[in-house]
Amino acid sequence: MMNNHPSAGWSLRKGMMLSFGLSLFLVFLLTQIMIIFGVPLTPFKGLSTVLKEKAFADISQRADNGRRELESWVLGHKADAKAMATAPLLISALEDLRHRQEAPDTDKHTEIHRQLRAFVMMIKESHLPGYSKVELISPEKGNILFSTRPEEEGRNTAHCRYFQKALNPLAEDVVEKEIHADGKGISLIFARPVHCPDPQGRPVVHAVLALHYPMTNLQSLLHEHIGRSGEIVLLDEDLHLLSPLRYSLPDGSSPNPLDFVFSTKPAQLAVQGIETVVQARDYRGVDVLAATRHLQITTEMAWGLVVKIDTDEIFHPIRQTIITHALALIGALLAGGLLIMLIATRLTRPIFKMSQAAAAIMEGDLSVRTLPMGSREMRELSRSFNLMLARLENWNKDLSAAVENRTSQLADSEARFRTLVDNAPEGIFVQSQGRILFINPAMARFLLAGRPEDLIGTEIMPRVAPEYHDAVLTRIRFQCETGKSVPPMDQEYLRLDGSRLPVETTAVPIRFQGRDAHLVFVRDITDRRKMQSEKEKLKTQLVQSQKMESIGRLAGGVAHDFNNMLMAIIGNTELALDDADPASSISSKLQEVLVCAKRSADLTRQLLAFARKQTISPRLLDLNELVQSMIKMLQRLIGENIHLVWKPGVDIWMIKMDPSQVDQILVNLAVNARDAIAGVGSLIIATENAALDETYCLSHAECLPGEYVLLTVSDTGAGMDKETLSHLFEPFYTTKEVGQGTGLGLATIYGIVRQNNSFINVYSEPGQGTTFKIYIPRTVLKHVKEVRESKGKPSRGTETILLVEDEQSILSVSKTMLERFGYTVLDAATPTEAQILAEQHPAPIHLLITDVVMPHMNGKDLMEAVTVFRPDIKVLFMSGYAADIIAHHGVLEPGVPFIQKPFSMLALAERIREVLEKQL
Amino acid sequence: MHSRHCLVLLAIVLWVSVMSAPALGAGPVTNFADHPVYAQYSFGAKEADIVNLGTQPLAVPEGLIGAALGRDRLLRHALKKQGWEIRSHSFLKGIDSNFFFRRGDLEFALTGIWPTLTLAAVHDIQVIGLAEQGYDSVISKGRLRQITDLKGKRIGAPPGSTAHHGLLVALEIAGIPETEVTIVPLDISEMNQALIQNKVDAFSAWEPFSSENLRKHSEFSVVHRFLTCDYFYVSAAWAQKHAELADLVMAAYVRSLYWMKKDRGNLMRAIAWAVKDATRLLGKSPEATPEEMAAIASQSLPKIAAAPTVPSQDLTENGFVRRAFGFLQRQGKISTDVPWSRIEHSFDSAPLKKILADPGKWEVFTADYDE
Repeated sequence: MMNNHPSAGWSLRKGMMLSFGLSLFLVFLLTQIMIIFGVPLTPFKGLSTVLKEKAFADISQRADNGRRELESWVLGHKADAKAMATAPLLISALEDLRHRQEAPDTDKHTEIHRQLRAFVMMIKESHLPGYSKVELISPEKGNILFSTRPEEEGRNTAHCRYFQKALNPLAEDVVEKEIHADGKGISLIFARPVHCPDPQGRPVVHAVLALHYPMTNLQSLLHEHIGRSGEIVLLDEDLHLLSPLRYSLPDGSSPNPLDFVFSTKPAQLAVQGIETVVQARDYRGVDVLAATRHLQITTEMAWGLVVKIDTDEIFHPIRQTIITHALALIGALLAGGLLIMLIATRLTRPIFKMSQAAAAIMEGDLSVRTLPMGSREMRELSRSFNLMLARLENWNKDLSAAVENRTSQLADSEARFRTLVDNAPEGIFVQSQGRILFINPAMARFLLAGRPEDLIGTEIMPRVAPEYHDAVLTRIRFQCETGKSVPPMDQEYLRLDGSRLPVETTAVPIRFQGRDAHLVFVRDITDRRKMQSEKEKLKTQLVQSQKMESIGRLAGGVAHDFNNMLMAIIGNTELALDDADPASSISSKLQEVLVCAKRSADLTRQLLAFARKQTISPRLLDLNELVQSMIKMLQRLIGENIHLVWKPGVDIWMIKMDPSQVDQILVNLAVNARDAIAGVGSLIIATENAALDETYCLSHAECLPGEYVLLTVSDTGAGMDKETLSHLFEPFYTTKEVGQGTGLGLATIYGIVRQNNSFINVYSEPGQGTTFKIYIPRTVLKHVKEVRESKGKPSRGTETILLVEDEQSILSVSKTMLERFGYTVLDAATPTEAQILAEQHPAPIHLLITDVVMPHMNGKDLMEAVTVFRPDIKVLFMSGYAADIIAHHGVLEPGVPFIQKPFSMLALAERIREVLEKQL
Repeated sequence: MHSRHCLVLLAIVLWVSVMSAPALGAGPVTNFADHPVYAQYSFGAKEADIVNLGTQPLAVPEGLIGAALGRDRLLRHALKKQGWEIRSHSFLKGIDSNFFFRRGDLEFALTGIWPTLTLAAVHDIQVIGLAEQGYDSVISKGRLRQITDLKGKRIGAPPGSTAHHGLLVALEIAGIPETEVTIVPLDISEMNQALIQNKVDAFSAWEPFSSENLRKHSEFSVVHRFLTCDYFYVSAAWAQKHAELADLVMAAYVRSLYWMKKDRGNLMRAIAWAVKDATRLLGKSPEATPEEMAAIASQSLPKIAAAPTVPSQDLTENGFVRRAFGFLQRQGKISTDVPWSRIEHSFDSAPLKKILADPGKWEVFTADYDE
């Protein structure tokens, strides 16, 4: 599957331009930074530092220059004073003056004065024009002797510090500051004693020379502008200005130097004697770089010199440099960027073309090819690319085919899996940590969910019936800990509507979607449980049936032996009656004996019927006709208080059954109904056709699917409870009083029903009456009306009969009967005797009458042995119990002559004639 | 066994290093009594009639004054008349001489502002006059151009000296705490070599060392320069007890100033004496040339000679001495318990003014010095 989304990220061209551009930018930037700011840990300082250092050096140099100039200026003025004070002319004149002190009015004195004045004037005019005045002061009193301002001559200066200091012979240079009289200016006074040594060489002061120099004249030195914004400020030791400021104060005023205390930091440092370069704010509040210098004029007079310049002006070149370099950087970047773009475009064009080809390939077009262009390497790459594409195209074809094949296989596998899982009748789900991760449609249906997706993510435990939670969790825990599967478990799930679903679950631990999970198979065991329930029921029924079978077998066995006894009793009694006087009491007693014996025979016949051992002769019957023929008899049987209702079905099917058995059924049911109805009631007999399918038969034991004729006998009697119903068909079970019933009626019915491959259902509840439904298999053989046995005198004959009976009493009575009938009887107590007689008797033997069950040889085998010697001999079997080899399930094979013991003389005579007269 | 030997050897090396650190130039000996040179000085008995003068031959013009005082025949003669003699003792720096001053070994001394004030704080002295009014300098090499560049650097300074004081003032101005520099204690004579050998990044020194180093090493430059003063003082108790003798010494002090200022030849003689004293002290000649010393002395001597008394404005609120005192208290060099009045009281120029008022009487203009 192709990914057709455009690739994320930068294109090569953009990446190249960006990386080269960024590299170029970084290189340029780094270079500019290094140029401007220097390289740490190396001697290269950078323009910024160089400019700063230059600014610092410049301003320091300016300050040093300023100081030197001022020092020179001071020294110069000191020298002026020294030169004048040591001028020989002056000294000489003063010496003369001193000598003529006593004669001040003489011409010589006057002449000296004139000379001194002229001298002073001349010196000032020609050599000291900058001074405001020059004075010579008398040392004695301090009066000004001579002055370039004559109006000041005579003024006393004794209080002036310069005069007092100059009097000290140790003092040579005295410099003092004097504020002008108008208070608007300051003058420096350079004073010096004019002295000459006395004869002892000690200096004697003749006068004090004072040169007054206005500080305003210093402005030419101090007003040199430092750059665009700088200035030089001179202060005295009291931080008073000695020179005017260049700028106004922040309030716009110009300070009076005599009043203004210049207290900025540089000024304080300068005055305190600290010479340094500092950055501070000046009197304008502007950041300046200031160099401070200290001039110690005298030990007591010091000046502070501040040379300052605005930092803006200092850093302006630095900023200019940075801006210039920044512009250069931008220009270089632009030019470089353009160049990079061109180069990148040119270099990436072939790659771009190749990228386009790759995009086309991505779209599925493997036929695209690139045109070799660009550098040699790119051309080689392009050729290799094309070659690769050609191979890819071929591989793609092969791969596509393989992929298609595999995809098809995978799809099939997926479909198979999906088919298996989606169509599995069993529920399949995957749970992990109690949550459903996968569920198939069957499981969703089990839980009554609309779609499997509705259950994804939900918890499984709420779907488990609470009583199974512990067991389920234990199994899950076991699986998690051991990784083993657990055996299937029966439990119940709760559907979404809350109803329960019995299930069998099997779980196996798996890995699903990357995590540990459990694959659970869920089988709906509702039917199985039902079947188990029915199986239990059927098993119960089977047990019941087997019990009945056992009882029947026992009863059959007893009946067989009992019949043999009855045969002897009935036979001898009939012979005795035949010999006895009918009017005698013995005859009536014999009649009583015969009646009882016959009643006993009936009893044994019922037992045999129950045990399905009675010998029956089924024939095709129309059940409606048969029942109809018994209605009157049944009505008489049940009495007048019970209304008999006959509801024959329409077009009911034919059945094959011994009519006597139908009689037995109806009679027994009618008797029971009569006994169950207290007072007035009804007995309803109905017939109908019924087709039973497998479904019905699954829930009814002994039922086989097929077509049946249903005989329904219902009464409105007292009904029976479940307990009674469970023992209903057990022989000798009765709810009647002792002597009121044998308890064999329903057992006989049961035996008849089973003997005829039928089945019976009973529906009864106390107070609700009872209904018996007997399903008799339908037969399709045509109905042949059978003639019932007629009654009359015994038939006689003259044939020879070979009589075989191992029971001596029966052999004896039977022989007597046969001889009374006129037959010649050859009797044998054993089959061996019979064979000898059959072989050795010289006359024809016409009939073999033999017991069926005998020691060493049964009747059938005897017959076969005798017919070897007497092939024309006819045979009549007799037996008290027909469960033997000849009678298959008690039903004689068609055509096999048989007489059930005990039999009467009449029945025996009739049967013999039937057999002898029947064609072989 | 091998590792144990190594440990023992390491311990020995460490012990030797620790014990020899002072000898390796880690700093001057603080117990000056054990100084190899000072221990040789003979101050005489405590009550002996000896006037002991402490001087610093390596300082200009202070050392010159001390050298002249020690060779002043007039003084010597005048003292001898009263049964006293004068002995001049050379010290490397003021704190050294103060050690002996406090012990009572010295009566007079010539030192800078820091040792003068620290002594005045704890000892009764009388500061008579100025011995110097000049500039000490902080000199660096190469890139250190302003005081703020000293941050984080190693700066050599004689501990407790005026140069040390000036350095601390410079740091305070620059707003650099003392903890942000490394002050390497060095003797004045060790400074330039330490800078040349990059053991320090700068040093603070007085004249003539600063000018001498600037002259000799073009790569050296002045980072900071500050006004400093040296003083001539006497034990107040001794001066009070021996006022006449004190006057004689003070007169000799003024005489020396006048004598040196008067004639360059006199100045050179005094310089020669100082050089001799310095050589004896250092064990080698000082590096400053006599001409350099003369040039420096020529700048300050005239001013001092003209007015050797301590300027009264120096003792005012913003005066040099007052400011220095406040600084030393802030630096913890002088206890804050010491009041300014004690210091102020120590500065008494009255005796000197008495001399200056009648210089003839005290033979100020007469000179008679040893050859």
